[in-house]
Amino acid sequence: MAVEQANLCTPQDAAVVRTLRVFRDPHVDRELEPATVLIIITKHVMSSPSLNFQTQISGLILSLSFSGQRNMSNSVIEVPPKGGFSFDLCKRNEMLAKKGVNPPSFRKTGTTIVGLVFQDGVILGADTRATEGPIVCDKNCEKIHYMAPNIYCCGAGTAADTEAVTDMVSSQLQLHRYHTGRESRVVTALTLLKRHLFNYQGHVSAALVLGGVDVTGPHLHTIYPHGSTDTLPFATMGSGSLAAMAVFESKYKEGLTRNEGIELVTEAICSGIFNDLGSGSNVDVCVITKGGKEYLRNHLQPNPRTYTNSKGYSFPKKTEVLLTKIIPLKEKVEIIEGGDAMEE
Amino acid sequence: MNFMASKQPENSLLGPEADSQRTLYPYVTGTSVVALKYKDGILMAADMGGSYGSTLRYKNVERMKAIGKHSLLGASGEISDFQEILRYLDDLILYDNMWDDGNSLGPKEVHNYLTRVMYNRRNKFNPLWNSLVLGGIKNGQKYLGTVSMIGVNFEDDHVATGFGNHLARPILRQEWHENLSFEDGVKLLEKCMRVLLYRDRSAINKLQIAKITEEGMTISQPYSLKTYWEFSAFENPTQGAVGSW
Repeated sequence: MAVEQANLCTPQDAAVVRTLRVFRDPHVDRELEPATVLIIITKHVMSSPSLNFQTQISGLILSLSFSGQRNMSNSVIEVPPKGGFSFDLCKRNEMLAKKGVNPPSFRKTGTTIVGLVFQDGVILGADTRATEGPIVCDKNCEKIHYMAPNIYCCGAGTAADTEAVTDMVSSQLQLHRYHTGRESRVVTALTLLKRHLFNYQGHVSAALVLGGVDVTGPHLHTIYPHGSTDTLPFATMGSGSLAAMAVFESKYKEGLTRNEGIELVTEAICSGIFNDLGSGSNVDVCVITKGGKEYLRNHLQPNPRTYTNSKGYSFPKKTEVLLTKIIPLKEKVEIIEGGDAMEE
Repeated sequence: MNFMASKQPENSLLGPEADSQRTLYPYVTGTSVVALKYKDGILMAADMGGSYGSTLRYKNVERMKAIGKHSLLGASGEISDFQEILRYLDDLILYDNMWDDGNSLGPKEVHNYLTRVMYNRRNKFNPLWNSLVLGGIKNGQKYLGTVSMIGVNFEDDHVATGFGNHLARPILRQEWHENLSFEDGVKLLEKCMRVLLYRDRSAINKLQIAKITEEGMTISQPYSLKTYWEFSAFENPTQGAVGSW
């Protein structure tokens, strides 16, 4: 332990060193922890009246060196690790991008997603095209994600981010439902999502349209990747949002009926599909009311295959047919629906 | 769309004195222009705002002008470059009139001239920072075309510049049809301009609608659109979500 080799300039420093020597247990051949040294020195500093002593002590600390026998003793003083997201890799990525090394392109859902509030609840709509740069990688993906039996969420942006974030919040909501015994509220989902997204400072690239009906009524919110939210009667997100918003701004009115609402949502999504290159294929619609939800997958298919073989697919003659009888799987476990939820 | 994004071309090939003579960024800009063909000719709408960056500096800018007897030109982008273009076209029309041969330049010819001017300026890295809409009717033939600052030109039944491409074109694609009456055409244009007013930050509620027919060009007095803000959800947006925004 190299304390003895420290610069001793005043008699007070000698007192410190003496205390340290005492602390160092002679029977156990062990080095003093850096933290212990710090505490001892600090105690001396606090109890000392003179300023000189303090400055000398700081010089003393700096010249302390610890032997390399302990694994962490090469560092000067232990600093606790910073909490939160570490942006070091982001900086590295920026540096690499400047040198021309670009990261692989993410699978984005260049998208049109919309939501609107009608008489009895909320209607959400989305297109079904997922793109990877200039290529369509999924012609019929699902962009309306389940959050709770009464809450659904459309996602635009990086597909992995929207899936992961909605899955995560959906399970958090489920746990919360078990904990409280009550139906989930839309503001709960909203707060969980916005806290998560803000925490990651926009690096989780998920732009969401969250809609649902709970005890307080129908709600529709938009959530941006950086964590800001809006509460709106009608909303659009994604690359096709301007085309869809043009339809909404010219045709939306309050107190729409269910069929009018579905028609307006379909029109807005079609506007996105036909006027935006990042959106395409079919229209998904989800209607949420107090009574329940209706998920209309592929409600409209305005882009069918132009040419199809009328005979369908015919297997080559030499293919071996193993069985023509279909045996359904046997049910081993009986699923009990409902259960006893706690009374309000 | 974002006109203020500085487009710095490679100026290592040109001398240092050439820099001060070239348009590098737009300063006073006009926002979108929307136009469509209707039964008797062309209808065009543009608001009267000239923005200086993010301030609305000028509120009485006429961005649509008649060219000769048969054409109507609307421009978005840098206002000074639009005034320069008007000067070029003045010279062109004057030269044509001096021939005094009973023939006059129609919209197709003016459109072609503008395309050549814009493309050649772009090739010299000194563009006229405008997106132009040229409409007109000559001998019963309606014509509506557009030229961008890099020289992209095409003609169509309905065109728009800037934000109008994203917000107005979808509406026009759905609701435009052949042989619109004047009232229907105006209503459709107003629908597009209303959406632009709601959703474009550089739009103002003071617009003019110009029409050109065989008889000539008329431009309306500036007027404003009615807007609707009385959605109950706007009054108390966080009613059910206390603490949210």
